[in-house]
Amino acid sequence: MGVSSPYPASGGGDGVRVEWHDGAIATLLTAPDGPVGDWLRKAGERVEARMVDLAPRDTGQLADSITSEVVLDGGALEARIGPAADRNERPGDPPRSEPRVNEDVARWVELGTSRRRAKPFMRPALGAAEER
Amino acid sequence: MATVQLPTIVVPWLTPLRDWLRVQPAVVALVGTRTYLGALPLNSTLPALVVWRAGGGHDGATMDSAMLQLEAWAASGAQAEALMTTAVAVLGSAPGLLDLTPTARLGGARLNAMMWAPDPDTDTARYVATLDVDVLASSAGAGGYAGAYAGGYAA
Repeated sequence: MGVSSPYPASGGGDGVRVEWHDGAIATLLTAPDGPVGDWLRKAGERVEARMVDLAPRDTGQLADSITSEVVLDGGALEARIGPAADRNERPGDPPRSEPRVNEDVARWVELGTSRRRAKPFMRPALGAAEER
Repeated sequence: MATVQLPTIVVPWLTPLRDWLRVQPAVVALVGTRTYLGALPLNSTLPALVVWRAGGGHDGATMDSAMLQLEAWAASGAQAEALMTTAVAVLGSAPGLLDLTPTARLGGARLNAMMWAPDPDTDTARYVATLDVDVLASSAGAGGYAGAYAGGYAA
């Protein structure tokens, strides 16, 4: 779609014409492999790396399960970072019916319980990324 | 002449913050002096408030830029929510006014997130909130305080 500017160029002559390409703008803003998606992916990978660094390593399973991906959700790009349901599950895998063990483990490691001291690794990782 | 960058000195401000919360009328009305640092003591009477530093760093502009975790423990979800809402409001009203130590004051406390997180071990009601807290050098401070952050917790 093309849009003509109503304002003539200063000094006379032809006016400025602005070409608006919906498809190109959509690709720019919402394609996971477009420039915005690429920037978001790199930011997500930095948070992921920090999260892996901070995650407690009793068995290593929790740290090993941390992944990041960029998805289009509700018309907007979104970086999803955190522990996958289990160490073998990766973004894009089909949904599983079993409990998402690592997600529960991660929640209580992050927040602590009455009997276990919290070891935050997700919020500090995100906070460190926000400070950059 | 070369410039030497000295390491940031972090003052232990968490204990003074806990002590300050312990005398705030709105908090005292709900939990008495049961505001703890680090973790809920075993067999603690409820409701109770827990405060601790979950993360953060130093951005150069502040003495400490901390991620503060508040935990409101109670016998019911409604009680926990009321306690958390009160504690967040009390902390939110303090910035700029509160000298935590002779050299440090609370410069800002912004609610980042608040979530319902009942204890999975005992099923006790709990709200957890994360606040972004700035600790600034106090204008009244003489600058002589050089205590290192101990990082330890005591009820």
